Order: sequence, then structure tokens, then C-alpha cells
Amino acid sequence: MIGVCGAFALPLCAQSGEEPVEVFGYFQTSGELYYDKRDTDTGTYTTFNAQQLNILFRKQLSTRWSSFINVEFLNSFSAKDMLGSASLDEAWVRYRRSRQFDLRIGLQVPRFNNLNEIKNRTPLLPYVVRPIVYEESFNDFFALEEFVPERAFVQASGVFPAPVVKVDYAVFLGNSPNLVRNGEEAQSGTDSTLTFLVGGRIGLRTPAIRFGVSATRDELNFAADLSRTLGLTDNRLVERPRYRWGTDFSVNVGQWLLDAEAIWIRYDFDVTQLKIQRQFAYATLGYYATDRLFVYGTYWYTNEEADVINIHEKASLDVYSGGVSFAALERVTLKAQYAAVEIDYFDSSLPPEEEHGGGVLHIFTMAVSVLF
Amino acid sequence: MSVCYLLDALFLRRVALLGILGLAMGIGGGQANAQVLVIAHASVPADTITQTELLDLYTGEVRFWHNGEHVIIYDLQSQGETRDSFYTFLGKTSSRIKSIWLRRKLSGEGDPPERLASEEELLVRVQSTPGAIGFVALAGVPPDVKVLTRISPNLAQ
Repeated sequence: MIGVCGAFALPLCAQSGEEPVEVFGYFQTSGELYYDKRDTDTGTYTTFNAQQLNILFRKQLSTRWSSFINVEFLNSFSAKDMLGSASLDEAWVRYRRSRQFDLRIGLQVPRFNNLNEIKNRTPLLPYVVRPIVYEESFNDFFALEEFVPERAFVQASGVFPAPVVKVDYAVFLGNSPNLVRNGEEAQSGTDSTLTFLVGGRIGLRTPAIRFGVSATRDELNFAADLSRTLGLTDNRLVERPRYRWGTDFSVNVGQWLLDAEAIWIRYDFDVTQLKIQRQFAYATLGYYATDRLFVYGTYWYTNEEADVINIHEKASLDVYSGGVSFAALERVTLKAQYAAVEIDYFDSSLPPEEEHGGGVLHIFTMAVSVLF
Repeated sequence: MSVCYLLDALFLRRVALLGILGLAMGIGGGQANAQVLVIAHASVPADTITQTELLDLYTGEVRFWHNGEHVIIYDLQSQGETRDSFYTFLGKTSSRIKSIWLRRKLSGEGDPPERLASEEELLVRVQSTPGAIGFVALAGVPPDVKVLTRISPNLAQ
């Protein structure tokens, strides 16, 4: 960690007693070997990727107020070569009243299940490739936001201690997913609807066990384009509710750690000809072989199904994975992971010989995660 | 030589060695197998502290004393008997505590406790910093420093 004031003595810190701006961050870079045995069979190939770089800025504004900025670069970001993406992931100010009440205002990743809030903190996670709905570097081809809330703007959270367990809570508010992307229509990045994302998590924990239940509700327009296909002349598919339900469980006994989560997504279209559902689950069993070496096995399941009139589509992933994470230095972690990805899809609109598809993709990855 | 005899002999040698080391460290600083004292600045509005309260402070879950004063936590740099006893009493390994603080740091919740090079330095910092808390195994704690609890070696097991 570098204290900018200490390093450069910026005028920003001229007031006596003012805390410096802390600048720190982390990156993870990986090498991957794909052995593709799907129907499309693209064979064996290798790749390198600067998976993620996050630059963090933190400033303690007063005893109870602090601010935080997180700038994220994904997938070997290069504007010159039009690779990857760069985004302002978080920019918030926090007021910490007490253990029972902590308020964050500004762009932030809300608390949902166990992993959502820390999904992009690669030094905290043993994985090279995270459970798929949390793998930010897959954002290009996998709709992560359908499964978990990606952004919120206000969040209150806290802990209520009780004799045996502690009760955690978080409630948050954010935009609906219907953001303006074309600056000619309205201000880009704003929400033009009258609805918001609302959600939260409530959890119980002891020193060894954590359990939580999460939920969100927002309204979206993505199915509105189907109105004509379904023969609808009204606005029944405009701003329809989406509900995400989640549960997380974690237990740590001795050197063993079990982490598990499940997520269900339900859309209320109020139209009999349209039905969409999504589910996700993962479970990881890990063992701290030493203080620096963590070994784990994990299973992820993702299922997406859509019924539009009489057409049924389904896509599912079963991922069996295992890996190791080794803290070579306090700030450097080496990771290795193998994953067998079973892909299965079905589309009843295709000719019978093409209805079913899928196969197995084997991925070997190694990565280094560095804190700076 | 039978295996049992060999083990017995090794055990006796280890006991003897530990005794010598303990005696040597006792003469040097009074630390080996000594009580670990959880100490606080005189301004801290508490006279005692429980294991749960201490864990809440050392994991960053509680940041303020009851009077609203900010908690300043001090830790020791080196892995030693005092630090081991303290973290054993908390029921967490120091690496587990480290990962809790890493999560807090990367989530913008603040920095881990400052780690000081020696118990003497820690004592001076606690003595001079309002809201400060730390732990030492020193015999002579000045009267203007509060002792919130004493961790005896058998409690730290």
C-alpha cells in the first residue's frame, strides 16, 4: 500500500491531521489450456490473459466517514487494440455509525449471498476461474447480471450480536437494469424507469458457521421485444418484475471449509405463452493444508430455460473443478485449477438431429494474483 | 533400543530444553509461559474485556468504544509466544485474522492493526495513544495503563 501523501506530498494533504489517500490494488494474470470436445470441437488451444486489474483508492474523511473508489480493467484491457473493458466499479462514501448501522452511498456492489460483494477481489479467492455467475471476465458472453445484482447506490448494513449467534443484515437500493445506453435518448447510464432495484440479505453466524438468505426485486424490459411474436398489442411485457432468491451456507471446522450457495430467478411476465427461469448453485470443499496452501474441489451448476409459445430452449452447465492456491509471499498467490465443463443445450425449434447439443470442455489454468 | 524408550528419551530431552529456554527467557524478559496482559490506554471506557469483545475488536467488527472514541488496535510483528497465546485465546489463527483484515482492506473498510516490533514499543504506544488497545507479556506495566484481562497460559490452550 502506498500512501500518496507520504510518497508525493501532494497539496491535497496540506491540512494538518488529514488522512492521506491510500492507493493500492491487485491483479490476476492467467495462462489457460483448453481441450475442447464439444460438438463444435475447436480442438486444443492455449491463451494468456491479464484477467483483471483493480486500482483502489481509499480515504478516511473523518472518524466515521470514509470514501472508496474501485477502477476495474478486465481481459487484457487495451483501448488501442479494443480488448477487454475498463469500468468504474465502485465509488462510494461510507458513514459508520456503529456496528449496528453502516451506510454506504454511491456506486457499489451490493451484498447478495456470500460471494457477490467480494467476487472481484481475486486475492481473497482461491479460484482462477470463479463460480460462473461471479466470473467478471466472462461478462462478454455470459449474462452475469441475470443471476446477481451488479450495482446498487445505497446500502445500509450492520450486525446485531446475540448470545450465541450474530445477525447480519443488508438492505440496498439501485437502478433497474433498464439503463440508457444511447446518449441521444437521455443521459447515458441513467435509469429512465420509475422502478428501482431493491434487495438485501439477512444472515446468522457463529465463529464456525454462516447462513444467509438474499433477495432482490427489479423490473426489466428485455422481453418487450417479444410482444409482436406473442401477438400482444398491449404493454404487458414492459417493466416486468424479476425476483432473485439466494441462500448461502459456509462452515469452517478445523482446517476444513465448506462454502455453498444457490440462486433462483423468477420472472413475472403475466403471459401464459412466455416462461423463463434460471438457477445456479455451487459448493466448494476446501482444506488448509498449511497456512499458505489451500486445496479445494468445487461443483457448479447453471440452468437456463425458456418457453416461448411452443418452443422450448434449455442450456445447462455442470462444472467439476479442483485446484490449489499457494501464498508464495504475503502479497503473491499462485493458483492452479482444472475444470471439466459439461455443456448441454436443447432447442425444440431446430430440426430433430440438431435439437440436442453440447459436450465437454476441459480447462487447465494457472494464475498469479498480486497485491500491490 | 525400543521405539518407546527412544520416544521417552526424546520427550525428556524436550522437556529439559523447554525448561532451560523458559528459564533463560524468564530472566531476559519474563515472557515464557507468562500471563499475556490485554492492555488499554487510560481513556478507554472499560475495565474488563471478554474474549468475544476482544475478537470483535481484533477482527475490525467493532471500531468504537462505548463512549464513541475510535479504537486503535496494536499487534506484534513477530510470531512469538505472546502473540501465539493471544491469538489462541481469540480462537483464530493469525493467518485467519490476516485474511479477515485483507477482506476488510480490499472492501474499503480500513487497514489492519499496526504491527509493532517489540512489546516495549507496543506498551509505549498504548500508553500514549487515546483509545488504544494491545497485548504484552511484560511484568512491569505502568499504573497509567489499564489491564483489561489476563490470559494465563492454560487459558490460551
